[in-house]
This record gives sequence, C-alpha cells and structure tokens, in this order.
Amino acid sequence: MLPQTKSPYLKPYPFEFRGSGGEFFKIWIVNVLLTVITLGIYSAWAKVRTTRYFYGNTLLNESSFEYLANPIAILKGRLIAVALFIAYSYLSGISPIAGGVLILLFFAATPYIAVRAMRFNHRMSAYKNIRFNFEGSVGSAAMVYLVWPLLGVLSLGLLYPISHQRFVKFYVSNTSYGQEPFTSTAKVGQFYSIYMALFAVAIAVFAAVVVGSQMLGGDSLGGMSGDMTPEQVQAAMLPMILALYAASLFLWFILLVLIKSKFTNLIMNTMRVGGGFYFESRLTVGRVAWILFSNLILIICTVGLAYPWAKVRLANYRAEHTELTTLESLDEFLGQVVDETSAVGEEIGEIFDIETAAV
Amino acid sequence: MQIHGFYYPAGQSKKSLALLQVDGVLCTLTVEGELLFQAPISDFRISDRLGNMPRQLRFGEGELFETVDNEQVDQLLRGDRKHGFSALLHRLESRAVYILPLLLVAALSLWLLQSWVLPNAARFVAFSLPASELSVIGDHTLSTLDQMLLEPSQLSDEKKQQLRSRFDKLTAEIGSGFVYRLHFRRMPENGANAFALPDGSIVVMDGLVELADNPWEIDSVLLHEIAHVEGRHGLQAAFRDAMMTVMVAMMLGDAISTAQATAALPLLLIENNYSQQVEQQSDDFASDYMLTHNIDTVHFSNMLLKLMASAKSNTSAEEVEDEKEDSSIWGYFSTHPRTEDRVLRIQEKVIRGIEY
Repeated sequence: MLPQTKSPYLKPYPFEFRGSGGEFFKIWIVNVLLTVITLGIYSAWAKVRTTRYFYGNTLLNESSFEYLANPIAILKGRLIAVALFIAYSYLSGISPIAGGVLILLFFAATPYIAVRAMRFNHRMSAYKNIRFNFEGSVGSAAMVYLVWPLLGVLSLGLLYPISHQRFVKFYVSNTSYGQEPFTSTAKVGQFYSIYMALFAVAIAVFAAVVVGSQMLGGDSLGGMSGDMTPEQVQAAMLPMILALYAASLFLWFILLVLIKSKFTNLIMNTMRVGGGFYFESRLTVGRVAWILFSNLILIICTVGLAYPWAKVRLANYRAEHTELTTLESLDEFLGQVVDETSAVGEEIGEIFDIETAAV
Repeated sequence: MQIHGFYYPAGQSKKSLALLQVDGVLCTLTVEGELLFQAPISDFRISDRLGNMPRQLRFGEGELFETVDNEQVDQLLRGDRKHGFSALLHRLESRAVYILPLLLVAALSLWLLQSWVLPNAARFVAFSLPASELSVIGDHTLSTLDQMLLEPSQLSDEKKQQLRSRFDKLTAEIGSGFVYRLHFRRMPENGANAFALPDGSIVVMDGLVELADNPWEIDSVLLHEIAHVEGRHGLQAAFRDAMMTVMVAMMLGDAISTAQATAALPLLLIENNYSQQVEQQSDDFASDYMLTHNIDTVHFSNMLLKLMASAKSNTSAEEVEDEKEDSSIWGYFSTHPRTEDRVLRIQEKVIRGIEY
C-alpha cells in the first residue's frame, strides 16, 4: 500500500516556462492577420499554434509538453459548431418557442458535449511521448454539470461549494496520464473555507457601498420627498447604482483571482498521479491579482497589442510556482492506446462557452 | 548531417540520448550508440516549426525522436513542398521587420472586412431574396412588438381609411414587388414615430399622425420608410450583424478576452456611421420624390423638426443638455444624422433642383 500523504523527502521537479512575449507576439500577429483575411478559416490553425506554443514551452524535468491536435479536425468541429449557432439564431429569431426548446436541448446535451471536449483536449495533450486521457461518463458529467449546480442555485448558493468540489473530483479522477490515473483528495470543507472568505469580502464591499452612499448622498436621499418625479428619484439613486455595479465587478474580479490562485493551489495540492507523483502549487492571491489587473490595464492601453505579453507573463508565474514532487522516476510511465477523437464536442463547448477545465 | 536529440520508444516515457544521421535522403537513428532505425526521410512525420520549441520527428508505431536543433531540421525539409507553407509561416513569425507591415495589413483587412466585404455580402444576400419570401419575417416582428411594446391605434376608422388611400397611391407608383401595407399602432405615452419592416409593412404611430399639420408631412415620413423597404436596409443590417457574429465566433472561438472586446469598439462606430448613411439615403429618396412630384419639401423639413422637438419634450432637461454637445465626436455614436443636418440636406436638394 502506497502512502496516502506526501512525504517530506520527495524530490521536487519544478515546472519551467520558456516562451517569451516578443516571440509569441510575432506568432500572434500572424495568427490575427491570417484569420482576418481567410474570414476565420485560419482560426483553427491559429488555435493549434497558440496552444502548441504554450504547451511546448512548458517544461518539466527538461522535457516539454506537446499539443497534438490537427487543425483540420479543429476546423471541422468549429464549422459544425458555427452552423449550429447560426441555426439556433435563425430559429429563435423566427419563433421564440423554438429558441426556448433549443436552449433546453442544449442544456440536456451539455454533459455529453463536455465529456467529448475533455476527452479531445486530454488525448491531444502529451508529455514525454505519452498522452493524457479522459474517461468520464456522461452520467457523472450530468451530475456535475446539471444536478449539482441546480442544487447550488436552489439552496441560494449554500451547496455551491459542494458542486464545485464534485466538479473538480469528476475532472481530476477521470483524467489519466498513460496508464496512471489521477486522483483528488480535495475535501468539501476546503472549498467552503475559500468561499467563506469570498463571502466575507462580498459582505464588506456591499456594506462599504451602502454606508458610503449614505454618507455622501445623504442629502439627496434624505431630501427625497413625495413630490419628486420618478426621474428625480432615479437621478438621486444613480451614484448608488453605479457603486453597486462597481462593487459587483470588483467581486467578480476577486472570484477570478481566487480561481486562479487559491482554487488552483487546492486542486493541484490534493492531486496525485498514479501512486507517488504529487504537485506543489504556491500561487498567491496578491501576486495573481496584480498580474491579472496590470495585464488588463496594459491590454486596454495598447488596444489589445499587449495580449501576448500578458498571456506569457501569467504562464511564467504559474510555471515558476508549480512543481511535481516524487520519489519515483519520470522515465517509467507507460502509454495507453487511444483512438483519435473528433473535435466537434470541444468546438461546440468553446463557441457556446461550456467550462471544460478545472484549473 | 548530424542531429542530436532524444529518443522515446512507442508508448514509453523512457528518454534516451539519440543521434540522427542524414546521408542524402537516408536517415539513420542511433540510440546510445546502437543502430535503431534506418529509413528515408519521408518515413518521418515531422512537426511544424514554431518559435524555438523542440521539434518532434515521429516514426513507426509512435516512436519519437525529439530535438531542439530546429535549424538542421529546417535544412532537412528545405524544398519539401509539404512543409513549404509552414516554412513561410515561420519566416513571418520570426522576423521583427515583418511586425509593422503585418499590423498594418491586419488593421486594413479588418477595416475592409467591416466597411466593404460584409456590407456588400449583406446587400447581395438581401437583394437575392424574393420580396414575396419576406412576409414571414415581417409578420413575426410585428407580432413580437405588439406583445412587448405597441398598443392598438386610437385613430378613427375614417382617418385610417384616408391615410391608407394616400399610402396606396404612393406605393402604387413606386411598387417593386413588395406588397406594401400600412399599420396603425400607438406607443406608450403616445410617442411620435414610424418604422418599416423588411416585407413592406410600414407601421405609423398615432403620435406621428397627430403631430402632422397636413397630409404631405405624413407622406414625407412614409416615403422615407418606403425607401428603407426598397433599399432593403433592415434586411441588410440583420444579415450584416449575423455575419459579423459568425465571424467573431470563428475568430475568437477560444477565449474572448477583454482585449478583444475593447478592440470591437471601433467596429461599433462604423456600424452607426453606416446606419447614418442609410438614413440619409432614405431622406434623399423622399425629398427627390417630393421634388419630382411638385410637393414642397418644406413639409418634410417641418416634419423632421417637429419630430425632433417632440422627442426632446419627452426627455429630461439633462438629456437635452447632453444633446447640445452632440455636434462633434458624439454625433458619431448616434444612429441617425442630426436633424439640423438632415433639414439642411433637404434644403440643398431644393436649391440644386431649381438649378437644373
């Protein structure tokens, strides 16, 4: 029986990112140009080149990751997804009932689409000549994509952390690297404690908004009397509404930061490959918040041109603070024979925005 | 030629030092000193160059030779047609001198796409649909608007009949396959407005009828709406939006970031500019018709000014203040040209008409 907990004597193998903003900028600008002049057809190649660049420049123990997808497969999937999107727009334009039925059908199909998408993405990813794989069933996908989120909503968010934990378990424990399965020991309580912190921040922010607008706009609110027209009431409420909007944006940003720091740490640090390969992720909230925020400002100020540097910067930070720890050799993994899968599900997932990754 | 790298057996992560020797077209792979594989170069599936990432040469049943010696692999592939495009891509992607031209061409193409390709494609599609096929779209739109916004008209049957017969005269003369129909509706707070649907249905609000002081004023608005139908402006806009959405979905299929959302702002401006052009064309159509039929275009100008005044009286003082600043840059955000400009244009037409 292999030990269930990490031994302090494990040998660390740090991840390393070797891409550079300048190099990726040139690749990106060619992608943009060719995508525009081919009316979007080249986007499939652009996607493969971008993903290959980030996988190929991520190294572990002096070996790089590899993205193996064929652009033609991506293009086929993308065309089918776009055709579905057009059909949906057209039908819902002609009849709102048809549109509603299609949305329900789409929800019902989400677990299947998600499983296909994850399988495609995993099988197209390799490290040291061995591919990853995903073997989750549609039934368990239905639980984590439909049932648990629904319970989360019905319980006014109280059960949402469980829903998130179930999704992570589903994602991790159905992943394998060659013949070695991934396992996750992430506990519900660990998810609750991060969400509690988010909840506390939310309370503090909204309290600040209410108190602040009482103090600043106290006159206008206090002076609100029966003879004010609805327009005047609206005008008096405006700063409050704007402040609430800003507060919501701020909280959305905090959630994004938590997902990219605390949740990533939790998922990585409770993940194991085979019997003895562990991960150590040490992303900090402050650093991730700073990178995301300054990236956003840079991208806006350069009308998008800073995007490649922003992407590289985040990849760099993540790689620098992640390592694999083990006592075993990285040379003894065995592959598994898998079929090529189509990219249709993966592309539908992207065009219709289905979440297909836990980290 | 000798290329150093690593060898991985099929389905194993075991990494060994390897050497690929190329003699003409024959490649010999030795792993840790022992001969492993000998085959012509065409038996290897070689990954495309991308930056300075390691290159993968696969052979047999998933065996892999990996090397960082990109230059030598490129040399090996020189003249190979199959890799010609990827070599060209790498050249574009790796030289700093191409950055500025690429950026310019990308910006220019994006602009051309939005301002020329898409509008023309939309026009082509809009005009290739037979007028008779369009009634489905019109009926559906009107019934949706009835549910959501419009109220039944309160005009007398006599008034409606009178307006219909004038409308029929106008359309009989212009008619080009469209079956024109005049509908009467009322807006909440009795707003003055009129709009056209792609199938030739023209909807007039009670407020507009009440605002008009004579029948020619109503005619001028109806002519403007007829021009929208004849020019298939609504259809063109719908197709343009749909094509744009599809293109954006294709281009950004992965990760729509804030960056790309910001980049979409200029496109929005062009969109509104385009709609201003369409309004101008419709104004021209109406004033041309009036000129050739000896109807004084002052009725059209008057109607436009009255519509503007009625729209202003429905907005708060603050908004009117905002509108005063409308003259410069903000005019670009508006879908309609400024009323003053529209009236001026009509007057100019009259002057030119006299000169002829």
